[in-house]
Amino acid sequence: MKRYSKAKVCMVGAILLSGLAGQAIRADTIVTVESGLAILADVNGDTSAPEALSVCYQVTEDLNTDIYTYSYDISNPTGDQVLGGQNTGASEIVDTFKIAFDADAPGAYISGSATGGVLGAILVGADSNGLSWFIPSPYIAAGQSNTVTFESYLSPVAGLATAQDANPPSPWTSYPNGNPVPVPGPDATSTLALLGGVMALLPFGSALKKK
Amino acid sequence: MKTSAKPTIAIAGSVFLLLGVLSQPVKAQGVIDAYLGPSSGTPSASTDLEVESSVTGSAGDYTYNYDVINPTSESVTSFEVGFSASSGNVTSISTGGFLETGIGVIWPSIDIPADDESGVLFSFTSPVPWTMGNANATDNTEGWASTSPDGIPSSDQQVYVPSAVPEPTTVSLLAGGLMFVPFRSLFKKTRNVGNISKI
Repeated sequence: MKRYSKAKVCMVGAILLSGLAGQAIRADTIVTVESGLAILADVNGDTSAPEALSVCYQVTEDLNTDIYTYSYDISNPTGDQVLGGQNTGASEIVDTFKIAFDADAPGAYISGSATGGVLGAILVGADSNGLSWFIPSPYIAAGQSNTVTFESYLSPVAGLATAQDANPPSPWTSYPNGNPVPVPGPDATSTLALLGGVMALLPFGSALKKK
Repeated sequence: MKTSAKPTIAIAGSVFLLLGVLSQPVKAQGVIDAYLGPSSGTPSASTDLEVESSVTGSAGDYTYNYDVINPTSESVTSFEVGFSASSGNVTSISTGGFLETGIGVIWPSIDIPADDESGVLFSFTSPVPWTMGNANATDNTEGWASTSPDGIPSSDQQVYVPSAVPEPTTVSLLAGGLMFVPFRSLFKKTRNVGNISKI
């Protein structure tokens, strides 16, 4: 049972990535909002390498533009194998990655901002189900990883992710045995502000009635 | 010399007859239902995906069809079938599908709404006859698979996929070719005898 102990590596990677991104624009305007490592369990509920996948995630915010950049580095462990069917024993690949949120909501997904990493993942879906990337050949082979990104005006909340291959033990999921990843959530700040505004007006409404 | 020609004709006839028999249109494989269990760990009739798979066509020209029925409250956004796929055993794929060599066939961007069915069949053509293989599907929040331990029933629920073995007609062609080898030797011998008798 090889347990994932990549959290530190993931964090260091996130810091380096943040630093590079900051240098490219202005170091003092890009802040890391959230970063970490999530496990996507296989269909059998296995959360350990080499059958489970890991997703190293990071969310940064550009304080000048209020744009959040979400990035997910999907890692397929060395030794991941097909467990069943004609391809049993073959090296397992990953060809699809998805995250769930309402990408149609205002500001949730900045159209055209998705990137596919070195393997050229293609955004094939952006709708109320979320975002879906198809990773063409050579896919994410065992021992490889690929980073996908996109931009949003919404801050992160905990969400779900899935990944897929044609062969078992695919698919891999955050729920119920894996971990959540950050996804753009409802704009809690503006909702609270609206609620606060209404509450603030209530006393004036009472005063008006008294008069 | 007449007698030596007869076995050749007889064997050739047999081979052609054999080829003819093997090349007869095969009965299409009736629809079988596979229930792909969810990864959510809450199996039920309303959480399993149903895949109706069938094979139509005749020897050397099969069509594999998959109709995905989604009784769940999620939208299904991709569908895959796994087998040793190659350009040799998958000749064409329905819209939106991709051949993944050595892996299978994927439709990565579909939308089967909750409590609905694909309506349009996912299909591909192949010269290779069928065996049973695994399928799986995902939504952005969860997945479903032939091998999910949470499916109902709990045994693996498989669909028709092309087998990895050669087509019978190819085998019979090879066998036919091999059957001619001894007669070629016999023909050579007969010819030599004829030549000697001439001398």
